[in-house]
Amino acid sequence: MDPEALAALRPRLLRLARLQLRDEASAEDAVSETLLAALEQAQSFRGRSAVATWVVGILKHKIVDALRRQSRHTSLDADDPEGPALIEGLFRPDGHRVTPALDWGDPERLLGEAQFMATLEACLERLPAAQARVFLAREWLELSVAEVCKDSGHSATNVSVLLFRARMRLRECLETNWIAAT
Amino acid sequence: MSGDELDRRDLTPWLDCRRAHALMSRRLDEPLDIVSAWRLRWHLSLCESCRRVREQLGLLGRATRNLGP
Repeated sequence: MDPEALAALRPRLLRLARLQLRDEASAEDAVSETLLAALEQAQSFRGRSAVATWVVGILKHKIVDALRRQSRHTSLDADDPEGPALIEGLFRPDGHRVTPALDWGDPERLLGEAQFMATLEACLERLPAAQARVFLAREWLELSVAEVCKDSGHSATNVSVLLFRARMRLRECLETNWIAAT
Repeated sequence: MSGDELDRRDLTPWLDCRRAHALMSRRLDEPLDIVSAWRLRWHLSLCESCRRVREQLGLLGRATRNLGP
């Protein structure tokens, strides 16, 4: 394992860690621990996957540990005072959408588009912190709802609300900045 | 009440889009009870906009899982 090749991954790892942890110091720690672990375990890496993919796998484990240490419970609306109104604004009083959802085209094609993935990351960065932590813990780290509750300190109901708000915000953000713009 | 939640005691037989969206998010995290699942299916059979949202919410999860190097 080439230490320089590992060091080159650092900026990307840091960006992913910040996205999830929303805390500079915890993100730095998780990335440092990841790079150390990768060096130590270099012998066990036998090219089963690309080095970068293997290292991101280690990072995910370090982030789960960091989330458990953070375990900061914030109230639902503390970092997202306008969230409820934003979601209400998508619907008319009778419950129908104000504007119907657009057709995004072939999902397989979108998954392969670098520009779509870059827009997704930009939209994730814009999510309020509590929503980002819970959404990424569920969809990126692939934790169960029970694990997300335990690690975040939120009740199951609040996790469900945070996931709903995050998904609605991400959908709108992508539709505005990617789908409608192309 | 945060405004996002579905009232589980609500016995209205039909769903509007707003509540369909909340159920479509929930079903990605836990199995729906049979009544909610049936109402959602019925709503989706009639609503193209919500069918699109269902696809898109699934895609958001898959795309996020692909975040990597």
